[in-house]
Amino acid sequence: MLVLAGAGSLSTALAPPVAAVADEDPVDVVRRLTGKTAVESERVHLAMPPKFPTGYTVPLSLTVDTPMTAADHVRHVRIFAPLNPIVEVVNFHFAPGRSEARVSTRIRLAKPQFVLAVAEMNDGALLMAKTWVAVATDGCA
Amino acid sequence: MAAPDNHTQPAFTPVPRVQVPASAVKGEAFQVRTIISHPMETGLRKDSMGAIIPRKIINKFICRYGGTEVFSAELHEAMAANPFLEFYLRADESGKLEFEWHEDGGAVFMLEYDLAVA
Amino acid sequence: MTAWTRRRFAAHAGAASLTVLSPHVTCGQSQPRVVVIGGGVAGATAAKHLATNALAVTMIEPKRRYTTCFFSNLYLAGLRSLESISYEYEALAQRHDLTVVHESATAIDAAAKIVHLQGGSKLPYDRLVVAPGIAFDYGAIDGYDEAAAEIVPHAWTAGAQTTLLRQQLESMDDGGVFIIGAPPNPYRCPPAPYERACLAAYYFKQFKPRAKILVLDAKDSYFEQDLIEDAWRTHYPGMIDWLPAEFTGGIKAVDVKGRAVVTNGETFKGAVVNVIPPQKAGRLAQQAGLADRSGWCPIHPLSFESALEPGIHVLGDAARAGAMPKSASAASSQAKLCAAAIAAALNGKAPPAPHLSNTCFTVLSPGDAVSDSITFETSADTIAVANIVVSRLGESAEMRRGTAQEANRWYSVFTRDVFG
Repeated sequence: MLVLAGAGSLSTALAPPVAAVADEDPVDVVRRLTGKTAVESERVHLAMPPKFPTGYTVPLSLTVDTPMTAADHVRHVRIFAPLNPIVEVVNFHFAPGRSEARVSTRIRLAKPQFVLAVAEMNDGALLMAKTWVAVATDGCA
Repeated sequence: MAAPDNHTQPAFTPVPRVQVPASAVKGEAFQVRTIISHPMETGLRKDSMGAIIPRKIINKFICRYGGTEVFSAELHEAMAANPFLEFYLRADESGKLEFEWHEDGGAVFMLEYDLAVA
Repeated sequence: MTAWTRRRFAAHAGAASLTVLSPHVTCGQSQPRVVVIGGGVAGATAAKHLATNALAVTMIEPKRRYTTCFFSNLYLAGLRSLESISYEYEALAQRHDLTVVHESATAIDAAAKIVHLQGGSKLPYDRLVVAPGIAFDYGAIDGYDEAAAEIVPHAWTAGAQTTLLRQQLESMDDGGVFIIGAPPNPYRCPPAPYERACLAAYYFKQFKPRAKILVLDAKDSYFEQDLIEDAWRTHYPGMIDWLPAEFTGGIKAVDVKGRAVVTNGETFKGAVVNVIPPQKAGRLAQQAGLADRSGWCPIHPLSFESALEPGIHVLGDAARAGAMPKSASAASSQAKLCAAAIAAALNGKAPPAPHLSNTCFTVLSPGDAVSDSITFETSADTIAVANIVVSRLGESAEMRRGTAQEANRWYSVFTRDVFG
């Protein structure tokens, strides 16, 4: 059961996100998962390899263009892999003046798909970016 | 005698590690790298008997500086095993960096480092 | 014909290096001469398969005994004796129409088509096959040179290096840390550093249960990582830790005397340190201008003829062979294609159709092994994966036991094929 929380935050009371069907529009996926409309924005940079030999540990780098001041900062960034059995991957929280809006990590992908980054800014706006990752088994490196 | 199940993974203590510089320049960003040895068992795998291997992951990471949370993350099943996080902080004065990893079931693993800021 | 074509291989310890071989003359005809430099899997396979084609084949290999790098991790674990993974060349020389010369090749004169041997002799050839294996990029890691390898072994060429590492593991105190430095791509045998961690852990579990293993990788991920890490957690929980380069910054230096590995962020001290350095094609390939700036030898896939020097073929680990890994199985497959291609060219026949393949086994513990089997699609310019079958997570213990048995069977058949 999908529960829409108050307008100001991404609620953690939502039901576990159901995997998307292939071809579902990323904006629709985000609306279904967060209850809000995210706008694709060049301020959000989601860097992942377009091809990778395994889905077991795929590198991900994220940057959001923001001065991280009290007046203009990103609060959190959620990463979604809509074709994974469990869609939400991680939610990063940043602090203005303390941390940069920048993180690198590794994630698991069950199949080739668009990976989504959804950034919530301090004014409540949701900015998103997507990147296609074709994971495969290519054989011995 | 039953054939040994090759998926029983006996408990072991995850080892957290952190790389931080010994010192930083006031107001300038510095890099922090963290890793913790952990299988991040998703709860979706079955053992050779067909039984689900229960979920057990590191579900939260917190970094504090001078007692204040400066960076954190909720981790879910699709984070890779041995979760690696690289992030960047700024500090205005010397202080203590604290790192926490929370595991399903309540265990918390911690490290702390003193950072000199000039 | 048999009297002169089957040279008796002289294995006397006191004998000086073998004689120069004059061109074979029989019945007034001379056969095309093919020289094979290297008696490893690629060289020995090439020589054997060339020898059935009315060619005068000479194989040059300084070692009189070849220990296989593949399966040497089992020796490190105490599961195999060194003898059981070592081979001599008598059978090859006696049963096949080829000559084995136990000398070093020191230089290749491609213009004159002559190979120079250490003792001063010269071997003329019509076609040359160079299978020199790998060389190490000493200097890539500060403080790790050839002399250092005598104290901090790589054990990535089998024989004395492997015995040295085994002795160090035997002498290690319980509770000590065994550090393995895994190399950057490409290198010989992709899963092997991690198989080494598995099998060292198997040995430690029995005799030094408080020992730990730390794998410091130059890479951030590796082939079959999910299978390997699953094996570490299942068989050797809490014993093995793996740190990628994205965390450590990579291996910068080795303090040989202090048995420490220096990374960008931190220095790790071990009781036994095994550094597997970055690699490149064997020395002779570099010297002969067969390698490009990558350090490996570019080849034409349908014949493995060098892309840089016509008339010279490069096989095995030294070659850059598209999607093929650097493995014994790949070397053998390449050598068979190359031998058929050379024979066809010299005998005026149609070139062979390529059927390149690779089969690798990784032993995670006795009775638990995984494998991958690949066939390749080969064109004039590329070697790409056509089909791949790999072991999976979640296979039954019985299936893994079957794979372990298959690995042993494969090894017996394979080595007999190469050296028999």
